[in-house]
Amino acid sequence: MKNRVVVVGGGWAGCSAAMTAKLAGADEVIVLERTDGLLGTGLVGGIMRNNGRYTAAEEMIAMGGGQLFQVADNTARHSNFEFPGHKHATLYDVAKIEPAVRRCLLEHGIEVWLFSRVTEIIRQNGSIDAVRLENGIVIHADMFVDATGTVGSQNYCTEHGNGCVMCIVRCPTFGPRVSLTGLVGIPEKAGRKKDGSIGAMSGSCKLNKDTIAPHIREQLEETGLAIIPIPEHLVNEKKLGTKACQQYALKEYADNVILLDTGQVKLMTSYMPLHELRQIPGLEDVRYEDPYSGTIGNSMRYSALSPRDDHMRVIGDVDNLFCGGEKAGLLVGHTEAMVTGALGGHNAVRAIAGRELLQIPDSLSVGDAITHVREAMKTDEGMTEKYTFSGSIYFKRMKERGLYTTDHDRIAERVADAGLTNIYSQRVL
Amino acid sequence: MSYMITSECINCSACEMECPVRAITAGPSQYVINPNVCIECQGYYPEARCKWACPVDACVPERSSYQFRSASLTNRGAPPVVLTADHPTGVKRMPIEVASE
Ligand SMILES: Cc1cc2nc3c(=O)[nH]c(=O)nc-3n(C[C@H](O)[C@H](O)[C@H](O)COP(=O)(O)OP(=O)(O)OC[C@H]3O[C@@H](n4cnc5c(N)ncnc54)[C@H](O)[C@@H]3O)c2cc1C
Ligand code: SF4
Ligand code: SF4
Repeated sequence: MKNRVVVVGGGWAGCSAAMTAKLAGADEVIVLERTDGLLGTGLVGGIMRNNGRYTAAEEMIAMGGGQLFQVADNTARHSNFEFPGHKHATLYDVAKIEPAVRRCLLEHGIEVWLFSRVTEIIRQNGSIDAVRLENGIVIHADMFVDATGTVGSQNYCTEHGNGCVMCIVRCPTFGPRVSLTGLVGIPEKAGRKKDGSIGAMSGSCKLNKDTIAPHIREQLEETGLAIIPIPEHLVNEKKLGTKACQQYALKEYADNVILLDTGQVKLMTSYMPLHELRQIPGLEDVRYEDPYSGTIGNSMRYSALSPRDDHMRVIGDVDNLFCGGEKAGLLVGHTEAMVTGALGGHNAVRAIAGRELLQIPDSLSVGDAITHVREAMKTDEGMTEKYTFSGSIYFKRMKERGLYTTDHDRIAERVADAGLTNIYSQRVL
Repeated sequence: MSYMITSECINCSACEMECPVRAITAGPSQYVINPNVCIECQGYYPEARCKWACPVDACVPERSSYQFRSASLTNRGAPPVVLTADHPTGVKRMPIEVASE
């Protein structure tokens, strides 16, 4: 009998889980994705390797799980560039990244199923026997990975945000996200804003590049960055508290519009009325690219976090479910999703092989983040924070613990000391 | 026949409280009427009570074409597009054995 790992959700976490599952020797790896393409919210972000994410990316490469990081590097529009509060960032091209990732997965022998929205599970005792797609097709597997993310649905964006603003997730067309952990019946936690209310709003939008003034466009293409002061009467600092990305909650971001070149123009704010945006010099004719109604809001995230252990196994009444990405805790970002997804995918194969599950020690930032965030989420206060290698409290912790470095040799040495060199590229089956 | 709720629904829940046979529930993105339960208020009210209650005129007699198009794409039964190394742009045929039930 061939063994099979089914990954539900084709965002960064799901793609990463599929890669490590395949590398670890699973016979068949299938990614089920509800939309018409891979990468989920990874289709609108683009910032990699900023601050501590650099260390995490290099740790992954040293552990033999760096394939997707290299794909992102290869599609970069700008590398080793700086913007307020952030050093040595890479910006991947949000238009070119999906085909590149898709190709990488297919070349490794992974199957990608699109228009494949899981809406039901079939249980057998303590295990998931199969998942059923919305159109009725049933797919059996030995192990499952929940990488469904935490964004949407229309209800959630309406109740806790400012309504559906038509973001890249496209719930009305493809149907909202459905959580595998939720289908199993395991209670999920929701992240909270500082004021205690549920959810967090995504922290950036995309503007259409052809609609900004040519001199800004040229500056962006050359340097990757444009900072334009916001006219005094528009400065609205209050908004910053509602964002998912705490690393951007700096004053610079309230006083200026900060634009980054990710192929489209990334605007570093949750939302801003178009008529106000158009009062900013150079943006007189600007238009939103994502979300379409960036005028009033952005997608809401962190609705449904799976309880999990440090092996990425979902804790609850089920024995063959792993998780990764935003699902796995209040870890924000592509890098974070790839790191947690990779561990989930790898351990799914270890579980099939009956081998001891892998835990990454806290001498590596990747291992420390996984453990630290799980611990921090036990407290109500911890649930109001967001964690990322790239800023705010977790980056601070990385620096305090001496984990942050951009020295490749030192990182390779640390990974070797932990006995994890190329661990992800070795078969366990 | 039954009534249905269009995407104009603003999730106010007024109809849910009014419906005499409890045919209306909160759906994933808006309120929905179960057509197997709805009796168009016959014997209860002279006109459909949800239509009377709805502040935005979202409760209307069912039209199947509307129901069909407002369902999400995959819910209309679209088959998955399966990408593999040999068929990087997709295959129609199911490449693996799946139990269709
Ligand atoms: C506007 C925006 C900008 C961002 N910018 C950055 C940035 O610059 N840098 C950065 O590092 N991070 C950024 N982030 C955060 C980052 O995108 C996410 O934290 C990370 O990519 C999450 O990945 P994920 O795989 O966990 O979830 P997602 O990307 O949400 O992926 C989940 C996938 O699962 C699919 N799915 C859900 N339910 C089902 C189901 N039942 N069946 C099948 N498929 C299903 C979804 O369609 C989706 O593709 C940004 C996020 C947003 C929204
Ligand atoms: S804003 Fe995006 S995530 Fe929220 S409901 Fe609309 S499409 Fe879905
Ligand atoms: S009364 Fe109308 S708007 Fe209110 S929930 Fe019912 S259908 Fe929706």
